[in-house]
Amino acid sequence: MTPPDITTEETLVQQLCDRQEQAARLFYSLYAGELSAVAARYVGRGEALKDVMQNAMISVITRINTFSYRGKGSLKAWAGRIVANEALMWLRKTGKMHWVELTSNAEELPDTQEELLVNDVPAEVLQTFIEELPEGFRTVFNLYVFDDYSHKDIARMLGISEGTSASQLHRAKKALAVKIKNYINRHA
Amino acid sequence: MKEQWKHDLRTRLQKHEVPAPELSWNEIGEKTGWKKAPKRTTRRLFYFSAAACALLLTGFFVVTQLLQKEKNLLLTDLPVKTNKPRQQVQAAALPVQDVGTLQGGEGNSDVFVGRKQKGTVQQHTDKGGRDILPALGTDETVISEADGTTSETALYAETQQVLTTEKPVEKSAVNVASQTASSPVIPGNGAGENRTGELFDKRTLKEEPLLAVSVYASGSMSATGGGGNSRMEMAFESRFSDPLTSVGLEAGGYKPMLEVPIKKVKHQQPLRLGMQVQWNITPQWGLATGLSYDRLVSETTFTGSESSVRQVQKLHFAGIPLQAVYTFYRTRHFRTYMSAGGRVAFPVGATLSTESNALLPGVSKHTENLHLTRPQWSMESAVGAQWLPFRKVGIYIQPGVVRQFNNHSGIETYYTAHPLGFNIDLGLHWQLGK
Repeated sequence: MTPPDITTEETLVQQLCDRQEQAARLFYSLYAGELSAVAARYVGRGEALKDVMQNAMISVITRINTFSYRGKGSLKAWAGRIVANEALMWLRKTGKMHWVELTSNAEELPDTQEELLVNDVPAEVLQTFIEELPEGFRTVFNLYVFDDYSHKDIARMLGISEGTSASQLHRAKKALAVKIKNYINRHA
Repeated sequence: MKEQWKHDLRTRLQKHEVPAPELSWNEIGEKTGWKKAPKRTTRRLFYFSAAACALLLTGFFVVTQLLQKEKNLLLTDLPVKTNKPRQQVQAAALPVQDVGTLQGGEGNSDVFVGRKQKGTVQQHTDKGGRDILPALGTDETVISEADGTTSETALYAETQQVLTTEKPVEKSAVNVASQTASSPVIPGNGAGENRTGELFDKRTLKEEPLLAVSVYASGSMSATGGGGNSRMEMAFESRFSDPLTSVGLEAGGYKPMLEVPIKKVKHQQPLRLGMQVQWNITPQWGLATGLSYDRLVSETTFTGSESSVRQVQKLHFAGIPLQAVYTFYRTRHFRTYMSAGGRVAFPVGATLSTESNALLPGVSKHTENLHLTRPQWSMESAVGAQWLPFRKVGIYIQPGVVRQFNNHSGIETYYTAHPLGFNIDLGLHWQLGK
């Protein structure tokens, strides 16, 4: 979907404030693909994705009055946060977040030298790899990587310790690195 | 760079999309309480209505234009039908139903000043039995046909006929002409002889395209005149270019050059008041229509050597515009847009006030109603800027260009003088709904 220009975004915000169905449908047709990608990274696809997007859309419409336009792309970014929040709420509500605490096993210690070769893998594949991660891993991974939260913030948001957050991220990263490596080996 | 992978991953997936699920819009609507979008049937009805209106307007325009063309063609082929002017001018005391002044000239066919009165037309006759057409600006100017072209032709043809067969000029004619100052004298037999058959034949009409010559000779100078200044210039030039006419008129005993009245037309700037409703079909496209009122005032003066006539013409139109509006920039308090469309304006009232200072008896000041039937079509395009200091109320300025089409009514207006014009709309804007 072609990104809308400033005029469209501002008009859209105004019409969403007026609670116009037409504007809501337009908003969804413009941003649904990218917002669904955000949601899918947290909850996967299928019915879960539908539930999250449904609730996110309701939140967008009911909370649009709190949004202040700050230039091109600000509406999408704001809506992305809404989607992420709705995804977290869905995970909490369904009890699907499981945390694996970091053990003292040496092989599970963070490997700071390891880098993810993300540029060698198509975006669609990366998206699928993230969606395949266990809920706990990918939740922290998404909050840390895409929403740019610190471990301190993530710990407070999820009600876990900072260490747990760090371990989830490490495991997620390591799991992703394995998947990427396998993919590269398969397609080399 | 620390955590380069994080940056790379974000960049790679920043605009990544996945198939979006279908939402339950009814549930969203119930939970958010939004305004329901027009149902498909309503929307379809709107599009159908808009298309039908556009089609009707276009059809009406085309039909009126075609009818007018057909009418003009028929007029050029009409051999007879114009014996009335001759009869009325010659009759000594003919009862008259329609007495008034003729409006317009070129292509005029439906405009007649409707001052109806019953009475008699005083015949101006000199001692030699010649018919004298009424003086400039008098109430006695008589043309029974609403078709100015035909009447003028008749009188011109009559003049030609008389000039070629006339006896030598008598002194009495000179006396009368000098008494009536600007009154042209058309010699005749004065006995009510009907010579229509030989005066208004088809051949004469076709062979003499410069029908404007008859303007000054017909005595209809009190009319506003269809061609304005240019029309008068034509007539003036033709008097010199046609030696026969020139000689004949001079032989008639009056001064042709001095007696051509000078016509000046001054159009006031049109005033338009209106109300417009705009329906935004999409965030950028909208359809606007409404109602407008146009007031056109024109002042025409005819100045002769010893008399002058001043006419003030006031026309009132009610118009219906239909425009497409495209918003190309919009913020919360500012909007710029373009619009284009058409307007049809129907005449709802017209008056013609005539004031004469001619030194002739029976000259008075009077106001008459003009009966106009033809709509005024125009195409418009504009660029507008709207400032919304409040959420629902704002002001706007909209400069634009307008192309007015000739409605062939023969009435001189600001629109006929300036078919392509510029305008500036200033207005208040209310946004309805939530």
